[in-house]
Amino acid sequence: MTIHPHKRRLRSAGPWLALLALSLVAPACAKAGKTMSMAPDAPAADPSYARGDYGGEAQMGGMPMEADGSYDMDEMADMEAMEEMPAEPAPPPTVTASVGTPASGPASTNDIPQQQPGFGGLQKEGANFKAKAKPERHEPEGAKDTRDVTKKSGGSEAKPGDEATTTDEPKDLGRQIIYTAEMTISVFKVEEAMKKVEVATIAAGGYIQQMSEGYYVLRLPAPALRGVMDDVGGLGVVESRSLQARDVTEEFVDLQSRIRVLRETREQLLALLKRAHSVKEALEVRQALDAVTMELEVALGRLRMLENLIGFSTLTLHISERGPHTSIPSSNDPFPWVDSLGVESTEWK
Amino acid sequence: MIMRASSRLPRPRRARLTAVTWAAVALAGLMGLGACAPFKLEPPPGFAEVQDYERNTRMKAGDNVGLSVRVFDNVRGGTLAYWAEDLVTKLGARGYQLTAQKLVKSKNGEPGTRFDFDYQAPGEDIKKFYSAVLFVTDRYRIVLQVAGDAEHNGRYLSRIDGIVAELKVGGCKLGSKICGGAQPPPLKTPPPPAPESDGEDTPSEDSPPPDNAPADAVSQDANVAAPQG
Repeated sequence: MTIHPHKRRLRSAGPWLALLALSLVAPACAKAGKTMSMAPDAPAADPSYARGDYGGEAQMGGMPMEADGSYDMDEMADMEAMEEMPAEPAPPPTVTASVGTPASGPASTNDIPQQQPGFGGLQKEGANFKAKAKPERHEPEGAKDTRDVTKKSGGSEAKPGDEATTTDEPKDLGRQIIYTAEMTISVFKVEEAMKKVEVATIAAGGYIQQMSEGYYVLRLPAPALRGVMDDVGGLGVVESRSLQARDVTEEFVDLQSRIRVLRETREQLLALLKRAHSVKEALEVRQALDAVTMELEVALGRLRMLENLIGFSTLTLHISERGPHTSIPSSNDPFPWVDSLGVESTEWK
Repeated sequence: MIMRASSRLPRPRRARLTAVTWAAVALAGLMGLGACAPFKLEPPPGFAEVQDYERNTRMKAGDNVGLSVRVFDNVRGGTLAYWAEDLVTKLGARGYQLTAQKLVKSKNGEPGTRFDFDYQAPGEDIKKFYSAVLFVTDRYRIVLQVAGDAEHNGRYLSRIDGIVAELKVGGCKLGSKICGGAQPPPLKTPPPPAPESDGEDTPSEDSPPPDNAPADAVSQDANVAAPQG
């Protein structure tokens, strides 16, 4: 077997490529009465690996080490076809296989370039195959799971495969906005006003995030924010009031996409881990799996935090005591003299 | 000129006239300096002075009823009627309910207007009384205020006229059209918000008159005196 120039590029794929080749070729060779060493630069690749078609289920953290040797020579034939793949791109075929589903049959070379973004080191392998086709966009099952996650305030992680329905277009999530408000009010009796603020907060379904004398950081359900602000404003004289809205739709959608891809990647790594044939293979896959899992957890945490910020607005409230020193601010009055008059500026406590 | 006229007089008599002249000038100067003070008020019985600034004097009674005198510069065109309407309108917007309006006079005979209000601070259950007496001179707007819990109003409202009678106000110019100007017409504040009903639209007898009610409707209830002067 001669080494073609395009195969040299495959040498840069690193140990993952070798692992992949071993997982496919070694059992087949064993079946054919041959032996094969674990060469790190083995110029071969599994098309189904790049496509993400894996069979079987694997539990995260499991260490399946048995080699069932069920591969036949058809896969070897596919490998041979891979090696002889032309350099010029072929006309784009119609790809109908969905990502992340169990293998539905022998892979063809046209199915190969389904590159998985965010796949870590394994992504390089797909790049070596030179994309020959523009695959159709299939929303993986993880995407729906992610949307389900966003609807839950708790943000619990949904298991992949719970709902297999996929859509071609992502759903419109609407604008994701974080509201942050700040108010300063002055009252005659700070203690009573603070009690009323707490009652109004709890009645609105919110909670107190931080509290000190005359200072509150309240977390309120976003739809109840304005109502609570009006109620709080009625407790005294509103000295200042502000409301800010931060649109995080882009970050939100990016996070969802990232989580979807990471879940797909994790599933693929789990399947690959199940097919590992040696401790070294399993450890390498496990390392990649740990990295992906860590990245997934970070993204999920960030998503949960965003959901919390979107669902619960933050109201920072300052309460000061009114007295003779207090004047009432007026808007555009050229004669604000009356602002400094009244009971507040006269009565003593 | 005085010296020139007195130079024809005998020396003793001329010296006596010169002394009298200088004394008159000094007296006039002192009077003029005194007239520059916006107001003068000794603490009434039962009040102790807490703060004494030229434009803001505060006194306090034992039951926390406060008395203060605030001074603001007047502007051209600012009359008692103008500032009285401004005062009542803005206090009314803050929830003050005008209950009475009457003419008062200061110790030096300057006419002013007294406004009595009821007030309940937002979010508070305790009602307050508040009286503001407004004087407007060429140079100043002077407001004497008395405020406290409504339970004390019976004791203090009757004393306010007497306190005002001890107040001297300054800032009038000779031939002034501002000092001694016309009293404001009967003023009114917006009616207090109606209590939440149980869904019935029929107004109760205690409900406030509508906004298009005659102006004297509130004035009569509020025992507002007819404008004088």
